[in-house]
Amino acid sequence: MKNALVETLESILGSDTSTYLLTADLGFMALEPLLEKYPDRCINVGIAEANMIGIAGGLARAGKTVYCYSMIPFITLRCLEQVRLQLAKAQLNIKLIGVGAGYTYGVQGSSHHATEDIGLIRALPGIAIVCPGTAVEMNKCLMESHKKPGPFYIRIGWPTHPFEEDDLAIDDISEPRLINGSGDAKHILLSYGPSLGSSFAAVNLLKQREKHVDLYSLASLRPINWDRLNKIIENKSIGFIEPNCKEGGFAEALALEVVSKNIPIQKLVHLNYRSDYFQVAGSNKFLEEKNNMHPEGISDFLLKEFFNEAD
Amino acid sequence: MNFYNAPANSSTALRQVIVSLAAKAGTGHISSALSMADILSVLFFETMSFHDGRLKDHFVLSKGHGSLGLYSVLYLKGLLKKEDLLDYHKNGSKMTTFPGEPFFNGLDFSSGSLGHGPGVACGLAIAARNDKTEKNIYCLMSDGECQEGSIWEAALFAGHHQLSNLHFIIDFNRLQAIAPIKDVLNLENLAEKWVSFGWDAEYVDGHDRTSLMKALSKKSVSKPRILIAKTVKGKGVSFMENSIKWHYLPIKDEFRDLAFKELGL
Repeated sequence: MKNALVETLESILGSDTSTYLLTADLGFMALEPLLEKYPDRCINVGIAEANMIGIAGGLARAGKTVYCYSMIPFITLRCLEQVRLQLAKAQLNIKLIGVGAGYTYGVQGSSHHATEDIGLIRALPGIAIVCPGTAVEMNKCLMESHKKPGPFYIRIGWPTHPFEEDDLAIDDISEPRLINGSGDAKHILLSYGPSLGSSFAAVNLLKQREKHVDLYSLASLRPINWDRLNKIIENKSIGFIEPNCKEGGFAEALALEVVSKNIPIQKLVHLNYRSDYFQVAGSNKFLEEKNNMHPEGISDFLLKEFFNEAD
Repeated sequence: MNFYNAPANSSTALRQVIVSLAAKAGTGHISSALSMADILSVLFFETMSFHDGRLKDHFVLSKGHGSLGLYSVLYLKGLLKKEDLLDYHKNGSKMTTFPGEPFFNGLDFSSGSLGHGPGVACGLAIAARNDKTEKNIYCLMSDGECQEGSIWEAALFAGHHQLSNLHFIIDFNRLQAIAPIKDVLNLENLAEKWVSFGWDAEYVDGHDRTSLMKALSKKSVSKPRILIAKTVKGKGVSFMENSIKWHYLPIKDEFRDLAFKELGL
Protein backbone atom coordinates (compact mmCIF):
# COMPACT_ATOMS: atom_id res chain seq x y z
CA MET A 1 0.00 0.00 0.00
CA LYS A 2 2.86 2.35 0.77
CA ASN A 3 4.20 1.82 -2.75
CA ALA A 4 0.79 2.62 -4.18
CA LEU A 5 0.67 5.79 -2.08
CA VAL A 6 4.04 7.07 -3.27
CA GLU A 7 3.61 5.98 -6.89
CA THR A 8 0.20 7.61 -7.16
CA LEU A 9 1.42 10.81 -5.56
CA GLU A 10 4.35 10.87 -7.95
CA SER A 11 2.01 10.38 -10.87
CA ILE A 12 -0.21 13.25 -9.70
CA LEU A 13 2.72 15.60 -9.06
CA GLY A 14 4.25 14.71 -12.42
CA SER A 15 1.07 15.35 -14.36
CA ASP A 16 -0.07 18.53 -12.64
CA THR A 17 2.43 21.31 -11.94
CA SER A 18 -0.11 23.18 -9.82
CA THR A 19 -0.17 20.38 -7.25
CA TYR A 20 1.91 20.73 -4.06
CA LEU A 21 2.85 18.24 -1.36
CA LEU A 22 3.61 19.45 2.16
CA THR A 23 4.86 17.22 4.94
CA ALA A 24 5.33 18.01 8.61
CA ASP A 25 8.65 16.17 8.69
CA LEU A 26 7.14 12.71 8.23
CA GLY A 27 7.24 10.18 5.42
CA PHE A 28 10.56 8.46 6.16
CA MET A 29 11.45 5.93 3.44
CA ALA A 30 8.48 7.12 1.42
CA LEU A 31 8.40 10.79 0.46
CA GLU A 32 12.13 11.47 0.03
CA PRO A 33 12.17 10.89 -3.76
CA LEU A 34 9.28 13.32 -4.20
CA LEU A 35 10.94 15.98 -2.04
CA GLU A 36 14.08 15.60 -4.12
CA LYS A 37 12.39 15.53 -7.51
CA TYR A 38 10.05 18.50 -6.98
CA PRO A 39 11.83 20.75 -4.46
CA ASP A 40 9.69 23.81 -5.26
CA ARG A 41 6.39 21.97 -4.87
CA CYS A 42 7.18 19.31 -2.29
CA ILE A 43 8.14 21.00 0.95
CA ASN A 44 9.03 19.70 4.37
CA VAL A 45 7.51 22.52 6.41
CA GLY A 46 8.98 21.26 9.67
CA ILE A 47 7.27 19.86 12.73
CA ALA A 48 4.54 22.45 12.60
CA GLU A 49 1.20 20.98 11.57
CA ALA A 50 -0.86 24.09 12.27
CA ASN A 51 1.42 26.12 10.03
CA MET A 52 1.31 23.39 7.38
CA ILE A 53 -2.47 23.72 7.09
CA GLY A 54 -2.16 27.50 7.05
CA ILE A 55 0.42 27.36 4.24
CA ALA A 56 -1.87 24.98 2.38
CA GLY A 57 -4.65 27.56 2.79
CA GLY A 58 -2.49 30.23 1.19
CA LEU A 59 -1.36 28.00 -1.65
CA ALA A 60 -4.92 26.83 -2.32
CA ARG A 61 -6.14 30.43 -2.39
CA ALA A 62 -3.52 31.01 -5.08
CA GLY A 63 -5.10 28.24 -7.16
CA LYS A 64 -2.99 25.27 -6.10
CA THR A 65 -4.06 21.76 -5.14
CA VAL A 66 -2.28 20.92 -1.91
CA TYR A 67 -1.64 17.54 -0.27
CA CYS A 68 -0.63 17.70 3.40
CA TYR A 69 1.01 14.65 4.94
CA SER A 70 1.46 13.66 8.56
CA MET A 71 0.46 11.08 11.13
CA ILE A 72 -3.24 11.14 11.88
CA PRO A 73 -3.19 12.53 15.43
CA PHE A 74 -1.00 15.41 14.33
CA ILE A 75 -2.86 16.27 11.13
CA THR A 76 -6.28 16.15 12.79
CA LEU A 77 -6.20 16.78 16.53
CA ARG A 78 -3.13 19.03 16.62
CA CYS A 79 -4.44 21.46 14.02
CA LEU A 80 -8.19 20.90 14.12
CA GLU A 81 -9.05 24.60 14.09
CA GLN A 82 -6.88 25.18 11.02
CA VAL A 83 -8.64 22.23 9.35
CA ARG A 84 -11.99 23.71 10.34
CA LEU A 85 -11.22 27.13 8.84
CA GLN A 86 -9.16 26.21 5.76
CA LEU A 87 -10.94 23.01 4.72
CA ALA A 88 -14.44 22.87 6.18
CA LYS A 89 -15.27 26.58 6.18
CA ALA A 90 -13.34 27.84 3.16
CA GLN A 91 -13.81 24.62 1.13
CA LEU A 92 -10.34 24.97 -0.33
CA ASN A 93 -8.56 22.44 -2.49
CA ILE A 94 -6.61 20.85 0.35
CA LYS A 95 -6.19 17.09 0.73
CA LEU A 96 -5.08 15.76 4.10
CA ILE A 97 -3.15 12.50 4.01
CA GLY A 98 -3.24 11.02 7.49
CA VAL A 99 -1.18 7.90 8.08
CA GLY A 100 -1.43 5.55 11.03
CA ALA A 101 -5.15 4.71 11.17
CA GLY A 102 -6.03 2.70 14.25
CA TYR A 103 -3.03 0.95 15.73
CA THR A 104 -0.73 1.12 12.73
CA TYR A 105 1.92 2.66 14.99
CA GLY A 106 0.96 0.37 17.86
CA VAL A 107 4.17 0.16 19.85
CA GLN A 108 4.63 3.93 19.78
CA GLY A 109 1.83 4.25 22.32
CA SER A 110 -1.56 5.88 22.41
CA SER A 111 -0.26 9.36 21.43
CA HIS A 112 0.36 7.84 18.00
CA HIS A 113 -2.84 5.79 17.78
CA ALA A 114 -5.71 7.09 15.67
CA THR A 115 -9.04 5.86 16.92
CA GLU A 116 -11.15 9.04 17.17
CA ASP A 117 -10.37 10.89 13.95
CA ILE A 118 -13.31 9.62 11.91
CA GLY A 119 -15.64 11.32 14.39
CA LEU A 120 -13.57 14.49 14.39
CA ILE A 121 -13.57 14.89 10.63
CA ARG A 122 -17.17 13.72 10.24
CA ALA A 123 -18.15 16.57 12.56
CA LEU A 124 -16.65 19.07 10.11
CA PRO A 125 -18.87 19.67 7.08
CA GLY A 126 -17.86 19.33 3.47
CA ILE A 127 -14.70 17.26 3.80
CA ALA A 128 -14.70 14.05 1.77
CA ILE A 129 -13.46 11.08 3.82
CA VAL A 130 -11.79 8.16 2.05
CA CYS A 131 -10.22 5.16 3.74
CA PRO A 132 -8.37 2.84 1.37
CA GLY A 133 -8.04 -0.76 2.54
CA THR A 134 -5.96 -2.10 -0.35
CA ALA A 135 -3.32 -0.86 -2.77
CA VAL A 136 -5.95 -0.65 -5.51
CA GLU A 137 -8.21 1.44 -3.31
CA MET A 138 -5.25 3.64 -2.37
CA ASN A 139 -4.66 4.48 -6.01
CA LYS A 140 -8.35 5.10 -6.69
CA CYS A 141 -8.86 7.25 -3.60
CA LEU A 142 -5.85 9.43 -4.35
CA MET A 143 -6.79 9.84 -8.00
CA GLU A 144 -10.32 10.73 -6.96
CA SER A 145 -9.02 13.31 -4.50
CA HIS A 146 -7.04 14.95 -7.28
CA LYS A 147 -9.87 14.85 -9.77
CA LYS A 148 -12.50 16.33 -7.47
CA PRO A 149 -12.07 19.90 -6.21
CA GLY A 150 -12.49 20.62 -2.53
CA PRO A 151 -11.20 19.23 0.73
CA PHE A 152 -10.43 15.55 1.31
CA TYR A 153 -9.32 13.50 4.28
CA ILE A 154 -7.40 10.44 3.09
CA ARG A 155 -7.11 8.11 6.06
CA ILE A 156 -4.41 5.51 5.71
CA GLY A 157 -3.49 2.56 7.90
CA TRP A 158 -1.39 -0.45 7.16
CA PRO A 159 -3.51 -3.62 7.49
CA THR A 160 -2.39 -6.53 9.63
CA HIS A 161 -3.81 -8.93 7.06
CA PRO A 162 -3.29 -7.35 3.66
CA PHE A 163 -4.70 -8.98 0.59
CA GLU A 164 -4.13 -8.44 -3.08
CA GLU A 165 -6.89 -7.55 -5.45
CA ASP A 166 -6.90 -7.21 -9.16
CA ASP A 167 -6.72 -3.69 -10.46
CA LEU A 168 -10.41 -3.70 -11.22
CA ALA A 169 -12.03 -0.60 -12.52
CA ILE A 170 -13.64 1.20 -9.62
CA ASP A 171 -15.89 3.67 -11.34
CA ASP A 172 -17.14 5.36 -8.25
CA ILE A 173 -15.43 5.03 -4.88
CA SER A 174 -18.58 6.20 -3.12
CA GLU A 175 -20.23 2.88 -4.10
CA PRO A 176 -20.03 0.11 -1.49
CA ARG A 177 -18.07 -2.64 -3.24
CA LEU A 178 -18.47 -6.40 -2.85
CA ILE A 179 -15.01 -7.83 -2.28
CA ASN A 180 -15.67 -11.26 -0.77
CA GLY A 181 -18.74 -13.44 -1.19
CA SER A 182 -21.41 -14.16 -3.73
CA GLY A 183 -23.54 -11.08 -3.26
CA ASP A 184 -26.62 -13.04 -2.25
CA ALA A 185 -25.82 -14.02 1.34
CA LYS A 186 -28.28 -13.23 4.11
CA HIS A 187 -25.49 -11.76 6.14
CA ILE A 188 -23.57 -8.62 5.25
CA LEU A 189 -20.26 -7.48 6.61
CA LEU A 190 -19.15 -3.88 6.11
CA SER A 191 -15.67 -2.58 6.76
CA TYR A 192 -13.03 -0.14 5.60
CA GLY A 193 -9.39 0.86 5.88
CA PRO A 194 -7.05 -1.29 7.95
CA SER A 195 -9.91 -3.52 9.15
CA LEU A 196 -10.78 -4.55 5.61
CA GLY A 197 -8.01 -7.16 5.41
CA SER A 198 -8.92 -8.75 8.75
CA SER A 199 -12.59 -8.78 7.74
CA PHE A 200 -11.63 -10.40 4.44
CA ALA A 201 -9.72 -13.11 6.31
CA ALA A 202 -12.61 -13.57 8.76
CA VAL A 203 -15.06 -14.17 5.91
CA ASN A 204 -12.68 -16.82 4.57
CA LEU A 205 -12.58 -18.50 8.00
CA LEU A 206 -16.38 -18.60 8.02
CA LYS A 207 -16.42 -20.06 4.52
CA GLN A 208 -14.40 -22.97 5.83
CA ARG A 209 -17.31 -23.67 8.17
CA GLU A 210 -19.88 -23.33 5.36
CA LYS A 211 -21.04 -20.00 6.73
CA HIS A 212 -21.54 -17.40 4.05
CA VAL A 213 -21.15 -13.69 4.57
CA ASP A 214 -20.80 -11.01 1.91
CA LEU A 215 -18.09 -8.47 2.65
CA TYR A 216 -18.43 -4.96 1.25
CA SER A 217 -15.73 -2.33 1.34
CA LEU A 218 -16.65 1.26 2.15
CA ALA A 219 -13.60 3.02 0.75
CA SER A 220 -15.46 6.32 0.86
CA LEU A 221 -17.39 7.29 3.98
CA ARG A 222 -18.28 10.72 2.63
CA PRO A 223 -19.70 10.89 0.07
CA ILE A 224 -21.28 7.47 0.14
CA ASN A 225 -24.01 6.13 -2.08
CA TRP A 226 -26.66 5.65 0.60
CA ASP A 227 -29.29 4.40 -1.86
CA ARG A 228 -26.99 1.60 -2.94
CA LEU A 229 -25.94 0.80 0.61
CA ASN A 230 -29.53 0.74 1.84
CA LYS A 231 -30.44 -1.72 -0.92
CA ILE A 232 -27.50 -3.94 0.02
CA ILE A 233 -28.47 -4.13 3.68
CA GLU A 234 -32.23 -4.40 3.22
CA ASN A 235 -33.64 -7.39 5.09
CA LYS A 236 -30.14 -8.57 5.95
CA SER A 237 -28.18 -9.07 9.13
CA ILE A 238 -25.42 -6.52 9.16
CA GLY A 239 -22.07 -6.58 10.84
CA PHE A 240 -19.86 -3.50 10.87
CA ILE A 241 -16.14 -3.82 11.58
CA GLU A 242 -14.84 -0.34 12.13
CA PRO A 243 -11.22 0.72 12.78
CA ASN A 244 -12.29 3.66 14.93
CA CYS A 245 -13.95 4.04 18.30
CA LYS A 246 -17.74 3.89 18.20
CA GLU A 247 -18.17 7.53 19.28
CA GLY A 248 -18.50 9.46 16.05
CA GLY A 249 -17.65 6.39 14.01
CA PHE A 250 -19.43 5.47 10.80
CA ALA A 251 -21.43 2.74 12.53
CA GLU A 252 -23.30 5.57 14.24
CA ALA A 253 -24.12 7.12 10.88
CA LEU A 254 -25.32 3.78 9.57
CA ALA A 255 -27.54 3.20 12.61
CA LEU A 256 -29.07 6.65 12.23
CA GLU A 257 -29.70 6.04 8.53
CA VAL A 258 -31.42 2.73 9.25
CA VAL A 259 -33.61 4.19 11.98
CA SER A 260 -34.47 7.49 10.33
CA LYS A 261 -35.32 5.92 6.97
CA ASN A 262 -36.96 2.89 8.52
CA ILE A 263 -34.80 0.48 6.51
CA PRO A 264 -35.96 -3.07 7.24
CA ILE A 265 -33.05 -5.10 8.56
CA GLN A 266 -32.64 -8.24 10.64
CA LYS A 267 -30.05 -6.83 12.99
CA LEU A 268 -27.08 -4.48 13.15
CA VAL A 269 -24.03 -5.45 15.19
CA HIS A 270 -20.64 -3.85 15.26
CA LEU A 271 -17.09 -4.12 16.48
CA ASN A 272 -15.23 -0.87 17.05
CA TYR A 273 -11.90 -0.02 18.58
CA ARG A 274 -12.09 0.62 22.31
CA SER A 275 -13.03 4.12 23.40
CA ASP A 276 -10.27 4.58 25.95
CA TYR A 277 -6.53 4.48 25.45
CA PHE A 278 -4.19 1.55 25.70
CA GLN A 279 -1.65 2.14 28.44
CA VAL A 280 0.56 -0.70 27.26
CA ALA A 281 2.94 -1.25 24.38
CA GLY A 282 1.75 -3.54 21.64
CA SER A 283 2.11 -4.22 17.96
CA ASN A 284 -0.67 -3.45 15.51
CA LYS A 285 -1.59 -7.15 15.56
CA PHE A 286 -1.46 -7.41 19.34
CA LEU A 287 -3.71 -4.39 19.86
CA GLU A 288 -6.11 -5.51 17.13
CA GLU A 289 -6.46 -8.82 18.97
CA LYS A 290 -7.04 -6.99 22.24
CA ASN A 291 -9.97 -5.32 20.49
CA ASN A 292 -11.17 -8.71 19.26
CA MET A 293 -10.92 -7.36 15.72
CA HIS A 294 -8.43 -9.85 14.32
CA PRO A 295 -9.75 -12.43 11.82
CA GLU A 296 -10.52 -15.06 14.47
CA GLY A 297 -12.16 -12.48 16.74
CA ILE A 298 -14.36 -11.16 13.93
CA SER A 299 -15.21 -14.68 12.82
CA ASP A 300 -16.19 -15.76 16.35
CA PHE A 301 -18.24 -12.58 16.79
CA LEU A 302 -20.16 -13.25 13.58
CA LEU A 303 -20.67 -16.94 14.38
CA LYS A 304 -22.39 -15.86 17.57
CA GLU A 305 -24.30 -12.88 16.19
CA PHE A 306 -25.26 -14.20 12.76
CA PHE A 307 -25.35 -17.96 13.23
CA ASN A 308 -26.07 -18.28 16.91
CA GLU A 309 -22.99 -20.42 17.40
CA ALA A 310 -20.50 -19.89 20.17
CA ASP A 311 -17.05 -21.20 19.27
CA MET B 1 -26.18 59.72 7.05
CA ASN B 2 -22.71 60.72 5.88
CA PHE B 3 -20.14 58.51 7.47
CA TYR B 4 -17.23 60.80 6.70
CA ASN B 5 -16.38 64.30 5.54
CA ALA B 6 -12.58 64.11 5.25
CA PRO B 7 -10.83 63.01 2.02
CA ALA B 8 -11.42 59.29 1.49
CA ASN B 9 -7.73 58.49 1.40
CA SER B 10 -7.07 60.06 4.80
CA SER B 11 -6.76 58.37 8.17
CA THR B 12 -9.36 60.78 9.53
CA ALA B 13 -11.96 59.56 7.04
CA LEU B 14 -11.23 55.97 8.02
CA ARG B 15 -11.65 56.75 11.71
CA GLN B 16 -14.87 58.61 10.96
CA VAL B 17 -16.31 55.60 9.11
CA ILE B 18 -15.16 53.18 11.80
CA VAL B 19 -16.88 55.08 14.59
CA SER B 20 -19.99 55.87 12.53
CA LEU B 21 -20.43 52.23 11.58
CA ALA B 22 -19.78 51.00 15.11
CA ALA B 23 -22.30 53.47 16.53
CA LYS B 24 -24.92 52.48 13.96
CA ALA B 25 -24.44 48.77 14.57
CA GLY B 26 -24.04 49.15 18.33
CA THR B 27 -20.94 47.01 18.22
CA GLY B 28 -17.59 46.83 20.02
CA HIS B 29 -13.98 46.20 18.97
CA ILE B 30 -13.77 49.89 18.05
CA SER B 31 -10.46 50.71 19.68
CA SER B 32 -8.71 47.81 17.91
CA ALA B 33 -9.86 49.20 14.57
CA LEU B 34 -8.83 52.76 15.48
CA SER B 35 -5.32 51.73 16.44
CA MET B 36 -4.66 50.24 13.00
CA ALA B 37 -6.47 52.92 10.98
CA ASP B 38 -3.32 54.67 9.74
CA ILE B 39 -1.73 51.35 8.78
CA LEU B 40 -4.81 50.28 6.79
CA SER B 41 -5.21 53.64 5.13
CA VAL B 42 -1.57 53.69 3.98
CA LEU B 43 -1.70 50.05 2.83
CA PHE B 44 -4.85 50.48 0.76
CA PHE B 45 -4.24 54.00 -0.58
CA GLU B 46 -0.47 54.15 -0.89
CA THR B 47 1.27 50.80 -0.74
CA MET B 48 -0.67 47.92 -2.30
CA SER B 49 -1.16 47.58 -6.04
CA PHE B 50 -4.58 47.58 -7.66
CA HIS B 51 -5.60 46.92 -11.22
CA ASP B 52 -9.09 47.57 -12.60
CA GLY B 53 -10.44 47.93 -9.09
CA ARG B 54 -8.99 44.66 -7.89
CA LEU B 55 -6.14 44.10 -5.49
CA LYS B 56 -3.07 42.74 -7.28
CA ASP B 57 -1.13 42.06 -4.10
CA HIS B 58 -2.50 39.94 -1.27
CA PHE B 59 -3.82 41.14 2.05
CA VAL B 60 -4.42 38.94 5.09
CA LEU B 61 -6.06 40.37 8.17
CA SER B 62 -4.92 38.08 10.93
CA LYS B 63 -6.37 40.26 13.70
CA GLY B 64 -9.91 39.63 12.55
CA HIS B 65 -11.36 41.61 15.44
CA GLY B 66 -10.22 44.70 13.55
CA SER B 67 -12.77 44.06 10.82
CA LEU B 68 -14.52 47.37 11.44
CA GLY B 69 -11.35 48.97 10.10
CA LEU B 70 -11.11 46.58 7.18
CA TYR B 71 -14.73 47.00 6.06
CA SER B 72 -14.39 50.75 6.42
CA VAL B 73 -11.24 51.01 4.30
CA LEU B 74 -12.73 48.68 1.66
CA TYR B 75 -15.70 51.05 1.52
CA LEU B 76 -13.52 54.15 1.24
CA LYS B 77 -11.46 52.48 -1.48
CA GLY B 78 -14.61 51.68 -3.43
CA LEU B 79 -14.25 47.91 -2.98
CA LEU B 80 -17.32 47.56 -0.77
CA LYS B 81 -20.68 49.13 -1.54
CA LYS B 82 -22.29 51.39 1.03
CA GLU B 83 -25.38 49.17 1.19
CA ASP B 84 -23.14 46.22 2.06
CA LEU B 85 -21.32 48.28 4.68
CA LEU B 86 -24.66 49.24 6.21
CA ASP B 87 -25.45 45.54 6.55
CA TYR B 88 -22.74 45.25 9.20
CA HIS B 89 -24.02 42.90 11.91
CA LYS B 90 -27.49 42.73 10.41
CA ASN B 91 -29.24 39.39 10.73
CA GLY B 92 -28.67 37.38 7.58
CA SER B 93 -25.91 39.57 6.16
CA LYS B 94 -22.37 38.39 5.44
CA MET B 95 -20.96 41.29 7.45
CA THR B 96 -19.95 39.42 10.58
CA THR B 97 -17.50 40.79 13.13
CA PHE B 98 -14.92 38.35 11.92
CA PRO B 99 -14.86 38.39 8.12
CA GLY B 100 -15.70 35.00 6.71
CA GLU B 101 -16.01 33.35 3.35
CA PRO B 102 -16.74 34.17 0.59
CA PHE B 103 -13.93 36.62 0.32
CA PHE B 104 -14.33 40.31 -0.21
CA ASN B 105 -12.40 41.99 -2.96
CA GLY B 106 -9.27 43.18 -1.25
CA LEU B 107 -9.19 40.43 1.33
CA ASP B 108 -7.60 37.03 0.98
CA PHE B 109 -8.19 35.71 4.42
CA SER B 110 -9.28 36.87 7.79
CA SER B 111 -10.08 35.08 10.93
CA GLY B 112 -11.36 35.82 14.36
CA SER B 113 -9.29 33.02 15.81
CA LEU B 114 -5.91 34.60 16.29
CA GLY B 115 -2.72 33.10 14.91
CA HIS B 116 -4.09 31.81 11.60
CA GLY B 117 -3.11 34.59 9.20
CA PRO B 118 0.68 34.22 9.05
CA GLY B 119 0.61 30.61 7.84
CA VAL B 120 -1.83 31.52 5.08
CA ALA B 121 0.36 34.48 4.14
CA CYS B 122 3.36 32.11 3.88
CA GLY B 123 1.43 29.88 1.46
CA LEU B 124 0.46 32.88 -0.67
CA ALA B 125 4.11 33.98 -0.66
CA ILE B 126 5.40 30.57 -1.78
CA ALA B 127 2.84 30.47 -4.59
CA ALA B 128 3.66 34.02 -5.71
CA ARG B 129 7.38 33.26 -5.76
CA ASN B 130 7.05 29.93 -7.59
CA ASP B 131 4.71 31.53 -10.11
CA LYS B 132 7.33 34.23 -10.64
CA THR B 133 4.94 37.09 -9.93
CA GLU B 134 5.83 40.46 -8.45
CA LYS B 135 3.05 40.20 -5.88
CA ASN B 136 3.68 41.22 -2.31
CA ILE B 137 1.82 39.66 0.58
CA TYR B 138 0.83 41.86 3.51
CA CYS B 139 -0.37 40.41 6.79
CA LEU B 140 -1.64 42.61 9.61
CA MET B 141 -1.48 41.10 13.07
CA SER B 142 -2.10 42.22 16.62
CA ASP B 143 0.62 42.30 19.24
CA GLY B 144 -1.20 40.03 21.69
CA GLU B 145 -1.57 37.58 18.83
CA CYS B 146 2.17 36.94 19.09
CA GLN B 147 1.32 34.83 22.13
CA GLU B 148 -0.08 32.18 19.76
CA GLY B 149 2.43 29.45 18.96
CA SER B 150 1.35 29.21 15.32
CA ILE B 151 2.74 32.74 14.74
CA TRP B 152 6.21 31.48 15.48
CA GLU B 153 5.79 28.38 13.32
CA ALA B 154 5.12 30.73 10.41
CA ALA B 155 7.95 33.05 11.44
CA LEU B 156 10.44 30.17 11.36
CA PHE B 157 9.14 28.96 8.01
CA ALA B 158 9.24 32.37 6.31
CA GLY B 159 12.71 33.12 7.63
CA HIS B 160 14.06 29.75 6.55
CA HIS B 161 12.56 30.03 3.06
CA GLN B 162 13.66 33.67 2.69
CA LEU B 163 10.20 34.84 1.66
CA SER B 164 11.20 38.39 0.74
CA ASN B 165 7.76 39.08 -0.77
CA LEU B 166 6.23 38.77 2.67
CA HIS B 167 5.47 41.86 4.79
CA PHE B 168 4.02 41.52 8.26
CA ILE B 169 2.81 44.48 10.27
CA ILE B 170 2.14 44.24 13.99
CA ASP B 171 -0.33 46.71 15.45
CA PHE B 172 1.69 47.16 18.62
CA ASN B 173 -0.77 48.94 20.90
CA ARG B 174 0.35 47.10 24.04
CA LEU B 175 -3.14 46.16 25.21
CA GLN B 176 -4.79 42.78 24.79
CA ALA B 177 -8.40 41.84 25.46
CA ILE B 178 -8.58 42.16 29.23
CA ALA B 179 -5.17 43.36 30.41
CA PRO B 180 -1.97 45.11 29.35
CA ILE B 181 0.37 42.82 27.46
CA LYS B 182 3.24 43.44 29.87
CA ASP B 183 1.13 41.98 32.68
CA VAL B 184 0.07 38.87 30.75
CA LEU B 185 2.95 37.67 28.59
CA ASN B 186 5.52 40.35 28.06
CA LEU B 187 6.50 41.05 24.43
CA GLU B 188 9.40 43.41 24.96
CA ASN B 189 12.29 43.10 22.51
CA LEU B 190 9.81 41.97 19.91
CA ALA B 191 11.93 43.11 16.97
CA GLU B 192 14.87 41.14 18.28
CA LYS B 193 12.71 38.04 18.49
CA TRP B 194 11.76 38.33 14.82
CA VAL B 195 15.33 39.11 13.77
CA SER B 196 16.46 35.93 15.50
CA PHE B 197 13.93 34.05 13.32
CA GLY B 198 15.59 35.36 10.16
CA TRP B 199 13.50 38.47 9.52
CA ASP B 200 14.28 42.10 8.90
CA ALA B 201 12.42 43.95 11.65
CA GLU B 202 11.83 47.65 12.10
CA TYR B 203 9.96 49.76 14.61
CA VAL B 204 7.83 52.50 13.14
CA ASP B 205 5.40 55.11 14.42
CA GLY B 206 2.11 53.45 13.49
CA HIS B 207 0.28 56.77 13.32
CA ASP B 208 2.78 58.63 11.13
CA ARG B 209 1.74 58.07 7.52
CA THR B 210 5.05 59.24 6.08
CA SER B 211 7.04 56.85 8.25
CA LEU B 212 4.63 54.02 7.45
CA MET B 213 4.83 54.66 3.70
CA LYS B 214 8.59 54.72 3.80
CA ALA B 215 8.87 51.57 5.89
CA LEU B 216 6.30 49.67 3.80
CA SER B 217 8.07 50.55 0.57
CA LYS B 218 11.26 48.79 1.62
CA LYS B 219 11.99 45.27 0.50
CA SER B 220 14.72 42.95 1.67
CA VAL B 221 16.70 40.93 -0.84
CA SER B 222 16.43 37.63 0.93
CA LYS B 223 14.38 38.08 4.08
CA PRO B 224 10.76 38.61 5.01
CA ARG B 225 10.09 41.97 6.66
CA ILE B 226 8.11 42.89 9.72
CA LEU B 227 7.12 46.35 10.87
CA ILE B 228 6.33 46.72 14.51
CA ALA B 229 4.03 49.69 14.36
CA LYS B 230 3.83 51.48 17.68
CA THR B 231 0.23 52.51 18.05
CA VAL B 232 -2.26 53.74 20.61
CA LYS B 233 -5.33 51.62 21.07
CA GLY B 234 -8.40 53.76 20.40
CA LYS B 235 -6.31 56.43 18.65
CA GLY B 236 -8.32 59.49 17.68
CA VAL B 237 -11.03 59.24 20.34
CA SER B 238 -9.56 60.58 23.57
CA PHE B 239 -11.59 58.59 26.09
CA MET B 240 -10.87 55.34 24.24
CA GLU B 241 -7.13 55.83 24.00
CA ASN B 242 -5.16 53.29 26.06
CA SER B 243 -8.34 52.11 27.73
CA ILE B 244 -8.87 48.37 28.19
CA LYS B 245 -12.65 48.57 28.45
CA TRP B 246 -13.11 49.95 24.94
CA HIS B 247 -11.79 46.72 23.46
CA TYR B 248 -15.28 45.29 23.79
CA LEU B 249 -17.72 48.09 24.67
CA PRO B 250 -20.15 49.45 22.08
CA ILE B 251 -20.45 53.20 21.78
CA LYS B 252 -23.72 54.89 22.72
CA ASP B 253 -25.37 58.13 23.76
CA GLU B 254 -23.04 60.79 25.12
CA PHE B 255 -19.95 58.76 24.27
CA ARG B 256 -21.08 58.52 20.66
CA ASP B 257 -21.71 62.27 20.51
CA LEU B 258 -18.34 63.04 22.04
CA ALA B 259 -16.50 60.67 19.67
CA PHE B 260 -18.26 62.19 16.66
CA LYS B 261 -17.31 65.66 17.86
CA GLU B 262 -13.65 64.75 18.36
CA LEU B 263 -13.49 63.21 14.88
CA GLY B 264 -15.09 66.24 13.27
CA LEU B 265 -18.38 64.62 12.35
